[in-house]
Amino acid sequence: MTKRLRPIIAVWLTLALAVVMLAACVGNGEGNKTGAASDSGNEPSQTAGAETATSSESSEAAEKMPEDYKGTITLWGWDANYYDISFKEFQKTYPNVKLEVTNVTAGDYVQKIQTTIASGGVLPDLLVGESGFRAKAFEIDIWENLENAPYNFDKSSVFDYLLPLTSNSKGEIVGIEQTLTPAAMAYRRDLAKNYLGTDDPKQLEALFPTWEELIKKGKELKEKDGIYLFASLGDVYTFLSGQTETPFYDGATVNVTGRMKDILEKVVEVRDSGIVDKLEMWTPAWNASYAAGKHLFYPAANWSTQYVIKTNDKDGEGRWGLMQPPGGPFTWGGTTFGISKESKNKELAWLFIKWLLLTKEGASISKDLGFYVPLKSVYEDPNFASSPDPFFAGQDIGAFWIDDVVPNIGTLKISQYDSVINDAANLSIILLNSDRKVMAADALDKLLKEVKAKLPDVEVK
Amino acid sequence: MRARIKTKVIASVAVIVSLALLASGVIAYSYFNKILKKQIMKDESIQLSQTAGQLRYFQNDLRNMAYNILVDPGIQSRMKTIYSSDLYERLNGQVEMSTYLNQFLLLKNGIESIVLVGKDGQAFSTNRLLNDYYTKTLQEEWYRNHEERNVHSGFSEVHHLKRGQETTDIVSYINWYNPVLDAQSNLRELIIHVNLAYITEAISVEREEGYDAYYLLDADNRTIMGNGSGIDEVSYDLPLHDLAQSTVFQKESRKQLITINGMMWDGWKLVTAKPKSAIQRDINSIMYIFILITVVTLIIILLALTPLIHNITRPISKLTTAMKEASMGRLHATVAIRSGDEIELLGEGFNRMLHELQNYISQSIADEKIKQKLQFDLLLSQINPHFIYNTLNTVIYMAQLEGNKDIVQMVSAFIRLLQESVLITETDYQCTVKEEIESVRHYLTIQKFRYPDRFEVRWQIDDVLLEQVIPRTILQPLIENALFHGIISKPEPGTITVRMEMDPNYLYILVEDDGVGIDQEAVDRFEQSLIEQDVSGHMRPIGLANVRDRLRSFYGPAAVMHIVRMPIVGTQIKITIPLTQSPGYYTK
Repeated sequence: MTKRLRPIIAVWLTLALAVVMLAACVGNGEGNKTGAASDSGNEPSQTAGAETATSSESSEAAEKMPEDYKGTITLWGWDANYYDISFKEFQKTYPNVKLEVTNVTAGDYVQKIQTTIASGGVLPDLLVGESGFRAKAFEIDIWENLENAPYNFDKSSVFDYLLPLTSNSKGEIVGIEQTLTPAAMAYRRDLAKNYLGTDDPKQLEALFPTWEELIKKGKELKEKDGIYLFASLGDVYTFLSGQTETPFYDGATVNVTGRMKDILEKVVEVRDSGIVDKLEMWTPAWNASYAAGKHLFYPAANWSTQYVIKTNDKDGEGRWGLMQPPGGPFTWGGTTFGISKESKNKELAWLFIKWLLLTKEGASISKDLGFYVPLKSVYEDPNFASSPDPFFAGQDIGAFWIDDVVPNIGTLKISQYDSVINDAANLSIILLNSDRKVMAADALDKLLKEVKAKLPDVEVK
Repeated sequence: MRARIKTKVIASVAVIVSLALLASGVIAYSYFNKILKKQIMKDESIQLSQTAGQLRYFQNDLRNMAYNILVDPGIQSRMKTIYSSDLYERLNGQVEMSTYLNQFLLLKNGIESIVLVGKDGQAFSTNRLLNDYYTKTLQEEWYRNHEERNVHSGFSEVHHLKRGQETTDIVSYINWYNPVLDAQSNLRELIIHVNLAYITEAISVEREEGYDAYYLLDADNRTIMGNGSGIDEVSYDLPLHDLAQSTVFQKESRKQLITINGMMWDGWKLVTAKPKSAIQRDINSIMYIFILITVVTLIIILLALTPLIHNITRPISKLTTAMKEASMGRLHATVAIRSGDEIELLGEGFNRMLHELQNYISQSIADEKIKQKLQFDLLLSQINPHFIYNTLNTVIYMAQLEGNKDIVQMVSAFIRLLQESVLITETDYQCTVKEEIESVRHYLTIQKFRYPDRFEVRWQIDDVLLEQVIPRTILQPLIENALFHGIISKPEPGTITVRMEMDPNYLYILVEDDGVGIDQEAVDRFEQSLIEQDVSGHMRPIGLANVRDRLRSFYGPAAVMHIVRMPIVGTQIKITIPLTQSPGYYTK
């Protein structure tokens, strides 16, 4: 009985509310629009955009209550924890929207999209684009242009350096970054204190101002204490490739040499100094090295604290710190949310994206997960980013990322060729790591050959 | 109080119907109980077969996938690259092998990874970074156990893969590479690691609650998946080891129904133990439905029967009520029954009976009234006759002393008259014509003194008639009537003629006068009062009506009395008395 009544009551209540709101609309006229727009946070396009263009939309928004949004959004991704927590918060406002996640790892993502399209399968409503594959994925014509109606995403609301990272080769914005991905250097406080006499990030930054200084100090440490500065040559490459501002593709040619020659030489220089262990990045052995206490530095982005450092060193509370690496900070990784063109739930998908990434409410929930939404306006509050972390011995890592790192990140243009070249480049680094006799020139040679073989249609030099 | 017929009928119908329903219910239940039990066992087996079929489908799918990978030329060429002498080539080969294997993986759900094992024991997997890890896992017990089974292809026992922080339960499908295909190949075998959770999920979708145990066992009867408190007799008596493939085995223990399904490949078996109590519960739920149906049927039958029975018994109640009323004297009570059956006839009979009873009683009352009236009249004429007689004798004696002959004559006549009246007893209502004439003459003697020279009486009676017997005192009222209403009412003298005639059947008495005559209205009233006795009216009580009534009393309708208006003047009264019938009180 009550079960039957409930929907009826709900419908009547909704109707009643709609009538009240319509009346309010008539009464307030134009003035109500800002009220409706404030619902979508500080998104300037809603308030500053053309009044006539948005008037119908905002009155519609005024009529539709959060409860009226109903449906199930599908999503492919690997970050179950992030989806779970953020979506549960989302459902507090939109109780009738559900999320269905299919686990697809980043390594399989593009292949999964391709096999699905090939087999005539259905893509999810929400797609993600991880930095490693997104440039390639963005070239597949499955992404909604978020600048178009009804999304009307305003580019100027997010950090400028993200724009080339979230658009396809046509310049359309097809994804919104889940988080800023400022990257710097993580260090073992206990080792630093032991062998360098300090665990203060500022003093350590002073000790390692350049790669030259780093190599010098590293050698000392290795010889004296048997401590490696890095666990893997891949770690070194991560810094160096992050710090470069030379794109692989300049719009006409793939310039492998221009970008990689210096990096490879530097990598080999660091390698030959003996300060780098032979582990391979992301292998179980490398993961285990975090807790082993034999390696001082690791590249770290904001997501690393949660997903790499805390995961790999479970008992490591208080023994980690973050500092600026020699050569400066960079951006590392990052995943966008985008909407599939064939989605039937575009409205709901965008509702979730907008709520999570482009509102203050979503921003604070993201922050609790170690994510910093790309929306510039939330950082106008100087205290917003602040989050001292006991795992990092009380260091305010939020302030570090936002205040110290983000302003110093340079822009780097990505291209659809990046993932192929990156894969080949990574392989070169593994080669250099595995066979310590291989020289930079050999590696570059093999890399060029490989890229040329993989990209026969573009000029590669 | 006596049970009403309705209650009786309903009660007996209820008892019969419920007994019949109960009996049929019990029979049906015991019959269905067997069938249901068989059916439940069959369902159980079918359900398990379906799950087994799903698993078999999954197994086949895996096998096909494994065959495809093993014969895939891309795999073989990459396998060569992986074992190249050049390190870069080797590394590149590993990367490409991972990417290539991933294509197979992405098409299937539930597969954790695909691993190729080279002849040197090195593993190459869908995730290049974990190649070394997978190589190490080949030292683990599950793999050695599988090697001992010495099968070309098959499934391992459940084991764990620990990648990074997370541990996953895995069942691995292992397929040896047949060197006949390519003797040069570096490939030794293919391992597909399957997420146990995926298999479990596939089963648990099918699985209901209510099992004591639900197990998936592998070829060596190790548990791949299972839960529940345990199987009673799994340790003995069950053909777990020699269960032929594609067979289903079912066995009832004391407390459980155990079903084993061996329809899956590589010796996998599904074993379930369902508590018999659960089966009985299923059956019982059907028994409750039986009871419910019985009760509902009973209620419906009673609800339908009650008005029917009421319809049948209502006329009987009506009849009873009417009888009670009739017995209390209300004979006008009638019953109206339109049931169209025997009871309607009964009702009609009752009505008719009442009606006749009523007629008879009213007739009796009327007769009784007449009788009483006659007796009353007679008594009136007998008021103390001896006293009057003695007094009159004294008068005669005194008149003789005085020498008044007239008085002596008149009173003597009067005494005679009285004497005759005194003679009349209840049994002696009759006399001869002669005696009647004698009596009338005395009466006339007296009237002659009252009305001298006013009238004359003529007697025209044959002597043969004098001995005829007629009711006593029928002439005198007729003559009195003729005298007082006919002749005395007019100034001139008149004549009264009395005639008697006889034929073989009837005696006719005629009394005529030439007086004023009777009016027609009086004649009509008299004729009507043949039907309706008129006590009041223009005639004296002991008058014409009296005569008529007495005639009717004696002879019934055979005796007739008419008043006739004579053509010119006077009135004639005509009486017909039957001779064949001996006079007496006539009753209808």
